[in-house]
Amino acid sequence: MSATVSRAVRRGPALAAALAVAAVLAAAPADAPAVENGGIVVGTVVLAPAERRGPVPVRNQGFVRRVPNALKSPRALDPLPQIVVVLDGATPPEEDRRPPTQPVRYSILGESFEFPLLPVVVGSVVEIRNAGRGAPRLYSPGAADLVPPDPIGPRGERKTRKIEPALQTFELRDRESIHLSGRIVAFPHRYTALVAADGKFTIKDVAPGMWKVRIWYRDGWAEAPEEVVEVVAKKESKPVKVTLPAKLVTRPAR
Amino acid sequence: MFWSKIWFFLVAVVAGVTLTLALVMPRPAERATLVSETNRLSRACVITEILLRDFAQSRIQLAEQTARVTGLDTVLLESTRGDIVSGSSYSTAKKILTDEVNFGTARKGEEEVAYRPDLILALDGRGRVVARSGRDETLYGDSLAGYFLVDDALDGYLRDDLWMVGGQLYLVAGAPVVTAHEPEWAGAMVIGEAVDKEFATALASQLHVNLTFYAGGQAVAVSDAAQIHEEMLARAQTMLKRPRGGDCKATEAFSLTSGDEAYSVLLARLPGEAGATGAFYSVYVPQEKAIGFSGTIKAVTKNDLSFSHFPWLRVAVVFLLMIGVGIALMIFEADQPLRRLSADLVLLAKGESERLAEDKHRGKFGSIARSVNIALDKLHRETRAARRDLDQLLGPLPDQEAAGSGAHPTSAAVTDLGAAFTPPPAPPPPSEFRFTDGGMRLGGGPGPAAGMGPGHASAGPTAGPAPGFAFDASGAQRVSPTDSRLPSKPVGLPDSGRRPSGQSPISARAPTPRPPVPRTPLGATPPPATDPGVGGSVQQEDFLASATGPGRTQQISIEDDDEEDTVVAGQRAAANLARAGGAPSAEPDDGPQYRAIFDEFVALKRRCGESTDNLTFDRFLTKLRANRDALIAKHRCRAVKFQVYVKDGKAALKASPVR
Repeated sequence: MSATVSRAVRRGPALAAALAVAAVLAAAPADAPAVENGGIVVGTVVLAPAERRGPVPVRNQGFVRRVPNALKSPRALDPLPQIVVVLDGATPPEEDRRPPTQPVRYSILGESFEFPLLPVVVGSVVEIRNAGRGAPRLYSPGAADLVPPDPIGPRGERKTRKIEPALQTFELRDRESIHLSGRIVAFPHRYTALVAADGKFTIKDVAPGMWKVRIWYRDGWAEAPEEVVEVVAKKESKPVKVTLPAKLVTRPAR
Repeated sequence: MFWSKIWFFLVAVVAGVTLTLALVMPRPAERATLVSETNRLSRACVITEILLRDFAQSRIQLAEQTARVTGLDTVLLESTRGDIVSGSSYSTAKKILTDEVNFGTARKGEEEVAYRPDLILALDGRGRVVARSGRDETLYGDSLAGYFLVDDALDGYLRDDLWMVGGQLYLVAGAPVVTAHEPEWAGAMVIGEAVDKEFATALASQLHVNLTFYAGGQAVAVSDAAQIHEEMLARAQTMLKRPRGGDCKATEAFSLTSGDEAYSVLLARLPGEAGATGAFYSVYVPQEKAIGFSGTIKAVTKNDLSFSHFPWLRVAVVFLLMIGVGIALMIFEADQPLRRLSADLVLLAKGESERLAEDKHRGKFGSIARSVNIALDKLHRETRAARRDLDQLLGPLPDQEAAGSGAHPTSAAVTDLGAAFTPPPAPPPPSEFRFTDGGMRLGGGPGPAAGMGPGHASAGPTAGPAPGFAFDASGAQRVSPTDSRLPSKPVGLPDSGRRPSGQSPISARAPTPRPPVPRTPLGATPPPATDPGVGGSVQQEDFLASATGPGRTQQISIEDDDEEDTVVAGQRAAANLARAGGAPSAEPDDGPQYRAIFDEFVALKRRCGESTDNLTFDRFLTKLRANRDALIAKHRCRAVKFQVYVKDGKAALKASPVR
């Protein structure tokens, strides 16, 4: 669900809002089965001002250095696509810690994955679908058995093995190009959400209780102020505002 | 000769060094060529990088200009706001790219032609293709977001990159599209240039090298047909492991062969996304073949040997210097000493000096002079010994010695050697005694008859009975089996009409007939005895002795040419015999034998037309006994045998010691 929201956020504000409302309506209280009694956690990730975040890092260079255009200042670094909001500090029910029975889809759209970072429940299987025109040969550095090495043709699909252990990032790369890259990270439960382009996030069907809001950035926990949110069954929590520092520093999960 | 040898050694060393340099010289030249090729490759590599950078800069400017084309911003912004790229957006953008955009011109050969990039992409704000030109022109709507260049262009940056698309390498540049009225991100423009054979050839022609671009593990653009790609790709693996930067200077050129052609190759990585996946380019040139010494000689041109390129003057000076020093040393150390020695020898031959001046000659020439002096000394000693023998045989020669002393007052040695070295001042006596050493030639010259023999009796006929002793080692005087002087040959009697007048047959004066005796050989001769009849008229004897060594035959010939000399010689022989052992005693035992010899000798003289008037048996007998005794004493033999033979048309007698 959170993936769907994020994709919608990327593709259009209106669609994202509709999906968020739907997600909120689908929330259930924590002491009952999560789907029925869970609450909804909403919030916003606030970035530091653009001038403090700095420019987009240089990922590669051609014969000459890149230069900003003269008509408008370039965009600042936007870490939101690679941020996952994670609830922590309480024990979710068993059913929310089980991986989904169906594979989690992770699509390749042209020359990039639909999300830079895909959160899944530990033990999930990810189905990679190629929606582009190329035929990437994916591999995961450090986890050779994660994904089949053969090329994935247009409209082709490949399933990964179970994504585990938790809190470990698995990077997917293409052997034919360096720009096609995606990350899969497994969490112990499903209380995670990607962040929309405007910084908003929604986590549905959260078990009632007091939860800490944590930020996962790329490969580890971001050093950011922890926010605590109280989840009430079948209710939306007070909006959580997580303010990120200008320079995001992560620490290993373990 | 020391300095001549040193000089020869130096010249040989110089020649050897020169030859060595000539043989070795091509190798440094080849290495220098290789270094030059390497530098050339390095420069070409750097220039290639510079040109590619310039091209990238130009392409970025072109992309920026294209991004500012009127109307494109509106289309892209509208497409960005939509969920999908509409067909109308595609058509509008396509029309703008086709009709509105002027990409300028490019030089193709000798003329300027309209330029159009191989790849033109108009992207909306989400990275989706709204329109494209060139490759896959009819496709649109696909997302290129994710390319670093596209993301950077959408973020507002101008940059370049290298893409590998569908097996084709592209040099691409991107620029953001910003709306004109209110600055808003509308999309991006991407301009691409395919790196193909045409591109590689054009670039290589500017650098005068060969150029090949590799991407995706294969050669994607080549300027030359050399099939060296597999080895090139294998070599590139080592380079790809090194840190990036400065490949043209950091990497070393290496050699590759394709068929019979060798190439010097330099590799350098390409930047951008393609570079990150192993794209690189190679600059290579054919290697100059090793031509070696003969090839170098063949490669010499006429211009190389001109005065402006070759130091002929210095070479000539060095050559003349070497020749001059060598000749000077030869003159100083060989010619001049040899000339001095030759002059000394001439003086010696003329008798103007007794010995060679050893101190005047150096080195080997001094040795030669010393050797000659030693030979002269030995000759003197032998002459004195012979003189003593003759004195024992014939008695002292006071008159001759006195006469010799008067004629040659220099020294006694000269007097002794007079027969060998001094030309006769007077005609030779009619008969002579000559000792001939067949194994050793002394005195040289034309022969004893000309000036060495009897002529040395400087006193001449008036000085008394000059013995005329001479050493004759001339080969012409040597007896050979075919020589007419050999004994025991039947000698034809001359016709009576040819006999010289005034000569009577000797038989008229000969003693009474004797029983015939064998001519040769004569048997053992009893001990010598004095002959009381020595004081009679004795024919002068000429001893021609050939003593080639102990135990060899010594010959004595007796001729009767002049009665007066014969008488004197006979008197001296008698005196000698008397001094040696008293008066000769009669020896009845050997009389018959000597009679036979006498008869044979007389008969032979007659056949030769010689006079036998003054020849008597007694004197003959006395002489033979004296000779026999002298030879026995000299050679320590037990007997002497006599043989009669013809020499120079005259009868002669030869005595041989029997051991």
